[in-house]
Amino acid sequence: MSTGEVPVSKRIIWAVGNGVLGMIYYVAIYLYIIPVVFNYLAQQVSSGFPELTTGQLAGFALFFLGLSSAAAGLRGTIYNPILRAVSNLFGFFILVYYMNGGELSGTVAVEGARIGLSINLSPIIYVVFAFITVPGIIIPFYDYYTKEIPGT
Amino acid sequence: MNIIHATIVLAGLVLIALAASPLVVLVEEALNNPDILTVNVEPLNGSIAITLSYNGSVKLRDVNLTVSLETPSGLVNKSASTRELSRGGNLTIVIGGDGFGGLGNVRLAELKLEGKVSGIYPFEISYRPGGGG
Repeated sequence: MSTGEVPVSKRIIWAVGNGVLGMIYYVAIYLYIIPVVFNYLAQQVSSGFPELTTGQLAGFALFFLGLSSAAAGLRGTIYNPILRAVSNLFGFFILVYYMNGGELSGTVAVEGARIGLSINLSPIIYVVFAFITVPGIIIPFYDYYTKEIPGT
Repeated sequence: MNIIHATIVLAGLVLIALAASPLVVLVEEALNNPDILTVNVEPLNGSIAITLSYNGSVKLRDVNLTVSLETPSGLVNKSASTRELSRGGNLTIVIGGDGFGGLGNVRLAELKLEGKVSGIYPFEISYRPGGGG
């Protein structure tokens, strides 16, 4: 070995390993934990929010895996925070889309009468955006500009 | 993910749980007590008194109750509102007087309740007898 460089194969394995961790994080937060809270509330009101099919879940998981692996592989470059920000935004948009923006409505027929119920759960979406998505966008850029730019 | 990021995300998840807790409590109470929200219609000296009673522990804010009645002289709407409705609270609408046409000629078209659960989550409940298309 003439240099101390890490072999490409090891770097790829490291990037994919980090990508798997990133994928688990995004899937757990945006596609599992928060939808579970929404669906618990929704199923008492109506038939609930539409659930992701296995194929959709696998597709999103693969997408997150790709983005997170690419971000890990490009660590130290500006593409790393950009890809991490994109992952967070993408996760948030999936959540908003499948949760119908937090708007939930249902109708029940009882003894010949029709009872309609609608509730707006969007305040929970605002909390997700403020405390999970926004930090997930800002912190990677903060890390990049304070720790990973040579000479800073 | 560094420590700061993990802490903020955890704080966010705790906040989500806290934000959802009034709704969870309300849902649990509604499932265990079907009479959490009741509406009584009573004749009152030639008028009708429609009283909404609430028995939940979660406060409802900016509550507005609207009644639409079909009378011989057309659709009559009347509403009552209150800033806050808590356990044991009532909201009453008395309908009568001019254009009412007597109790026998009145039919309920719609009863609508609007408000905010804990002042955060806007909701609307409507009741239409006979399927009310």
